[in-house]
Amino acid sequence: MKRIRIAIGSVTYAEKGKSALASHGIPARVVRLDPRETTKGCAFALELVGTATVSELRSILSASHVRFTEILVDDLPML
Amino acid sequence: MGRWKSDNHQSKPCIVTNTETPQKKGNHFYLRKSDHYENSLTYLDHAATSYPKPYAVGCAMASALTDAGGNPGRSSHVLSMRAAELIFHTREHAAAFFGAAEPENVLFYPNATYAINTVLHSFGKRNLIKEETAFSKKAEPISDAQKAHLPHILISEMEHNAVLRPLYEMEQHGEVVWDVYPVFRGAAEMLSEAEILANIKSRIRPETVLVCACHVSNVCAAMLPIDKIGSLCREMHVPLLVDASQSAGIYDIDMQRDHIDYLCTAGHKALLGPAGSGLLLIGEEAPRLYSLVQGGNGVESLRAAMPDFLPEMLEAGTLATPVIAGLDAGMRCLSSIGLECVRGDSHRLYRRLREMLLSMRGITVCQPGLETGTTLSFCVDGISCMQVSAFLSEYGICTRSGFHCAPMPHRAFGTEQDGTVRISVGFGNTVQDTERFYRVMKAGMHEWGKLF
Repeated sequence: MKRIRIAIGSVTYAEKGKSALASHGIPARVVRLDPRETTKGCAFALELVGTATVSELRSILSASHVRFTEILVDDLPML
Repeated sequence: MGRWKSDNHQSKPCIVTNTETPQKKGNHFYLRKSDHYENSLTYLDHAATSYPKPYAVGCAMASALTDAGGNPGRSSHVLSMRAAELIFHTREHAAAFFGAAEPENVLFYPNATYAINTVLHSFGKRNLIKEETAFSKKAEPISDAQKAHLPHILISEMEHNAVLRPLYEMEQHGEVVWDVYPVFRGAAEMLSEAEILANIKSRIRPETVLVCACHVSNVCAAMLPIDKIGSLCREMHVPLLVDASQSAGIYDIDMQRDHIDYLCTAGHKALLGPAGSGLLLIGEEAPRLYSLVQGGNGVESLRAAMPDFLPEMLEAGTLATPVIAGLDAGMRCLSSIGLECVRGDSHRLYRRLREMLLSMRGITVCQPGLETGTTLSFCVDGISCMQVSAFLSEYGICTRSGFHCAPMPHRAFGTEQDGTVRISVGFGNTVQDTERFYRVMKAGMHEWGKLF
């Protein structure tokens, strides 16, 4: 499983992105990004765990006019 | 029916209670009036603010205080995130309600005045030709030659002081010049749509940067054809600002269909939200605006400049989550019942009141030929408007007297000395309210020696 975080500058776009992903059956939650992971200060991210691909997410968000800066993918540790 | 005694209510606690249940309209329209005044008030001042508010508005505000009580977009805990979510959903709803392209094009402000000032000052700011410092003595007067090249803003004869006063100040600082397109032919008649459009077209010049249209007058039921004005402005490549403070929540407005670049409105009037709510909606092709104030908003905090994207580029400081929640609830009430239904009821009451006033000798009604609307202005011959309004108030009829923050219509109507008495109907008014008004007015006319 992978944890995907989509870095987004504003909470408005984060909420907009959450709605866009939800309309494609992809649940996500809005979280604040760790300041060490940002360059301009406070920022948000959409966090999701699942099988959606980066290209699929990029395509949905772009089609919905959601401004995002980058997509971070981490491998989740096996339990 | 006795005169209202101002000390009658002093001993009662001000607890809201339900006094009307328009069941056919659904429970969320359950209207809350104050026990303070029991049922002795007849509220005919909806153009100032709507009253009473739907039950759902108060509930939404209370719920926001408790369930979404964090600072939206500032923290990562659940209360902050819920507040951010609530605000975003209200943006989505407002965008759909007014046909804005995207939710981020919806901005929350404390009132329509703030929204209008944001737009107008943006056009002045970007075109400053003089700089004054705190130490400069006095600015040099602008010459006529310089004025000819200043950005030009064209406004209607119906505009509110929310438009006039910032323009006056900007003109004093040499930022813009402005001009008025007439819409009235005296107190009794409006110009035709074709004449109004011709007036706009003939006044647009190469320096014109913005046209303002007050959708519905603050003084009477006069309404501008904003769809046609929008088409004209689009054709002439001039952005359009519409002040919909007296029309939002009554008439259908679609920013994309009507080619509106900036839509400014109060939230506490026919949108049924609480005082302190206002909206600015920005069209997709509208020129960039600048924030009147700068500050934190939980976005890009390390940058000195405000963010360069909507809505945060124009919203500084903590948003009023409970107020926004109340506005959302008001709009949802209207969406569920339909504007056509709300409008139909109001127009019927307006016509009834108009006929009542026209039937009384000694009363002059402004723009008596307007068949639809929600607002009527009138004068009683020889009696000051303040006196009439005070008399009505003694019997619990809430009206407004004076100039209604819109001086230009009064100059057109010849009422610039004393103003008018304004009555305005809205959601929750009934036929009984109009009858009560008529009885009290008749009593007043007798008291003032007017026979009819």
